[in-house]
Amino acid sequence: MLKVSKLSVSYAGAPIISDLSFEVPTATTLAITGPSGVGKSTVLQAICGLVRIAEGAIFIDDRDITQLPTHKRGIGMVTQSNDLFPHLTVSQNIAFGLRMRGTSPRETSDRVEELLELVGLPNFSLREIQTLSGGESRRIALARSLAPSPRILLLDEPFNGLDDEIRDALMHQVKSILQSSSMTSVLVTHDHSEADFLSSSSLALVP
Amino acid sequence: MTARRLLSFLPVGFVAVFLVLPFLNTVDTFFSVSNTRDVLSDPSMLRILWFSLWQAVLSVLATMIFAIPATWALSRFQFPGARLCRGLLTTPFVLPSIVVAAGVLAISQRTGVVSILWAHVVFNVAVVLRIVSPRWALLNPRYEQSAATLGASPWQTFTHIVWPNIRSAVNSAAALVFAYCFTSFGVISIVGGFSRRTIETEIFTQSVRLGNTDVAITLAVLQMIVVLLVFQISRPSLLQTTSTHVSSAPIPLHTKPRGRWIVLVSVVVPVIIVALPLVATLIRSVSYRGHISFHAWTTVFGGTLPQLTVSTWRVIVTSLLFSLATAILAVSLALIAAQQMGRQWFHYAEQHRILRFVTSLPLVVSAATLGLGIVITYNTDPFAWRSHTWLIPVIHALIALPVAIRILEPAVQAIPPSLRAGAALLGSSPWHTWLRIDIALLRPALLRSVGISAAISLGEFGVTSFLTRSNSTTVTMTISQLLGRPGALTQQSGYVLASLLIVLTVGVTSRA
Amino acid sequence: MKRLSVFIVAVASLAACTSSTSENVEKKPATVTLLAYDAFTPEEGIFDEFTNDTGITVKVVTGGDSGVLVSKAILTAGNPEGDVLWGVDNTMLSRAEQASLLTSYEPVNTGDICINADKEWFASSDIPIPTRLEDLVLPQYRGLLVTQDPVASSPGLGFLLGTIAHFGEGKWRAFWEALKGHVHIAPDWTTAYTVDFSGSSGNGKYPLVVSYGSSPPAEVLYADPSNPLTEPTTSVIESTCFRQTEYVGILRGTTNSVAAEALVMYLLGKKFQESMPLSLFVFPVNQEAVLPDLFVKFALRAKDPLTVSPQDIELNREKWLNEWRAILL
Repeated sequence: MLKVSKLSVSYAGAPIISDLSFEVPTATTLAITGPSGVGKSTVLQAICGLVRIAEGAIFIDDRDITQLPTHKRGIGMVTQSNDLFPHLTVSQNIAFGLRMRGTSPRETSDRVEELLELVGLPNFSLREIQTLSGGESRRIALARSLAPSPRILLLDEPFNGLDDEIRDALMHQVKSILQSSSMTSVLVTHDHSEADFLSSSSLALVP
Repeated sequence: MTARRLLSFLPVGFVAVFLVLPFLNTVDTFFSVSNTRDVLSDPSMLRILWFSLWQAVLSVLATMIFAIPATWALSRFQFPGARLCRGLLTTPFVLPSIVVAAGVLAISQRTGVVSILWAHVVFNVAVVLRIVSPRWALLNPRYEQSAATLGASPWQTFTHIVWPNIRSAVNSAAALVFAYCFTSFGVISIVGGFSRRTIETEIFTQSVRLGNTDVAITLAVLQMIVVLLVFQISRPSLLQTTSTHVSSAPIPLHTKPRGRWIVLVSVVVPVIIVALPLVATLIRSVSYRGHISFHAWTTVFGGTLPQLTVSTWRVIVTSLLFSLATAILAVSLALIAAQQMGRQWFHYAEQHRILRFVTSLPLVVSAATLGLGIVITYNTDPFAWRSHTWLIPVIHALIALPVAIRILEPAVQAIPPSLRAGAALLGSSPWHTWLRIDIALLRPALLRSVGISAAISLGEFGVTSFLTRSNSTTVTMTISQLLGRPGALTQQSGYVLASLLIVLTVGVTSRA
Repeated sequence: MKRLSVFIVAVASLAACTSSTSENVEKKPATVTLLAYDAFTPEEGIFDEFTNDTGITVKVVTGGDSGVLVSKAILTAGNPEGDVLWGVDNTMLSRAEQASLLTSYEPVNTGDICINADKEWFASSDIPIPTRLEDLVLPQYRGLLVTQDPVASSPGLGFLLGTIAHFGEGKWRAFWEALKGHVHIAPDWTTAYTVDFSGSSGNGKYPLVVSYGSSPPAEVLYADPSNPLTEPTTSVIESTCFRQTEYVGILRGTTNSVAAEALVMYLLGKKFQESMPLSLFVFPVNQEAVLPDLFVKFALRAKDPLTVSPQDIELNREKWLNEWRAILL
């Protein structure tokens, strides 16, 4: 379970988010919607510790993680910019989180194969990042964030910038992955149909 | 097409005329195999060689220890005072070594290896910062954030994500720092103490003090071989990842969730180390045996320099004209070279190797050898150039060329070829594409290389002191003249000129 | 367009300050080129009288310190960069002779390399200023002297030669062995005098320094005007003085020897000789030249200076330097 309590974030003195609280029960998906510029992504960045929070606390399964550095939080994130490492291959990208935890090479390569299957891109392991299409990149980014088995998955506009056809396919894929793995997740989107399709509850941020 | 081909030979031709030819001529005149055997079997010469090597390696390590964290902090984060810190860190590079060395000595109060390392760090942090920082800024911080969400600790993020992307820039900076420290003259001879001799100081001793030009040339050849080997080892691999990353603005420091103090320490410690000798210079310009006095400042600003017949303004104008001419010449040649190296077609590979090799030669040849080489090569009509004033900015440009290329080359390579194609599709002629796309995108890198070339010209002392001059004394030469005479006012005036150089450069570099 | 014009202005101004240098003297016999070291700073307008009398303009070109200047000139002996050379001293004269650098030469000035003492320091301590080289190894004078590396510095070399002249080939090594560990070796004059020495602008800790017999008047003349000095803060220890002589000569290969001879005559003449003390801080060789008051009062010209012949210096320099280094290391 993810709990955000009285979260406030400000930028250069101006509050972006003030006093926001919500809970995401285990194995459910919360959608955060709202117009652009309202601070949806900032909420996700605060949850995984990428921005400084002014006040409030974040709990995972009742444990306060507010003071933990990002890499110790066990939270995965997928964004619309993918951020695949350009100097690594597809499989090295997916294996990255596992290597950081010292997983054995054998176990790592099994897990990479498994994830490539899961996102429907078997045989992609040796591909260079520069050769991937937009949809492929997004699916590799998803596989990469799932590889270390995070307790929480944050999805920041994960279907943005994709063709309709690819987008629909990916939405179904994500839904089935979330359900089959009983993942707790937060989806940020400006698109209500995405929110309705994937989430069990939703939170609308207003300016 | 032929004009373009001709143009492409300019950088190589320039280095050939003003460096390769004089050097080969000197070697031809003085070098002998038996002499080399003598030098290599002389234990004191081997000690000199060994000391030159290890002090240079330690200097590179020391420089990196302070420069890498500072580069990270300054290319990643934005905070009040960041520009000033950057300016302070890049200033010493233009200062005459006599000023920095005297500053270090005034504080450390002792000669020896520690002072050598300190002075080398002071000079070379700027080199690392200038070469690595643009590459680091190209690395989008989102990669590091992704790594963190995947469970990578800050150290793992550095070794797995950041390092592979900045490695080639760090290598190239390290090789450059090694070359500077291995061939450093002013620093070693002032703060090294009389027991610390390097190849470069020995070249000077043998050729100038003892008249053993043949021994000096043997040492110069040895020194050249070592530096060339280091350049060969550190050569950036041809299979460099193409930089398709987009440059990103530094993050405001106050939004960083934690560890803000690490950023500040990373900058403040190097700044203190670099700034202390500069502060010592400022203090010397206003203090005389415990009293504070601004007379030297009013004297210098009044236009006169004690014991010298040349006026302050004349010296400053001469220096500025030389550095302007140096910058124009060095950056034009560097741009031609960088654009050629930027064309990544296979059949150019051999040509690139030659271009890269020849244009890094100015870092390899010792100042004393180059100075003597020019004197003995260009002394008869119609090439009696040795006492022409234009030779000074030309030689300064020669010395600035490798650095300017190292700044421009990554920037040229970072321009996606698709942009040029796109411009062509929109009807732009090659000339317009070059002007509107290449030059426009290269603007920051061009400005940086103009700045550093001008700076190199302002601070150059080694070769300039070998050239014959008439009414063309530079600020650097004047500082050394003033510090070389008795009289409180005279010496304070030397420190005033040095302080002026410092203040001017901090001002310019913290804006650019 | 704008950029182009900036470029043109830069090139034009550079060309203006280039304005043709030395080489083609035969085409312009009205000019004579004086080649000198960087520190050659004659009194302003001192050559005007020469030009008025002879119609010859003097062009001064400089190129490095005296070592660099003479080394360069020797490497291209016979094909000189100028007509007259100023600045070969007695430590380099023999080398210049061997290369037949000059067709004729004469002493033009002398200066003494002597130990200078910080008068205030000695006044506030119990010990008197030492008077002989031998004093320096006494316990009370240990660690008070800073000298220069004789390999890199000409006053350092002068002082070493002075000790060799004083103690003789047999005993100078013993003197330096006794001094070892009790003397500070600075890399050059600037560091020794302005950083390590306590009696000048620096705040160093050594009250004795190897410098020149003419350093005290320079301290007075170029004192900080807010702390003007009526007399120098330093004094010179006469018995330690080594005599340095500088020569002026006509460079072999000049096509302008008539003008060159005239210039040498002028440099040895009363007017120029009298200008040297306060512009170059050296003593004239012309007996008729009158010394300025400041020099009469505060500068020192040793009555019986230490000397070594240029031939001996040339013959033994490298050996002596290596021996000195072996002792001090």
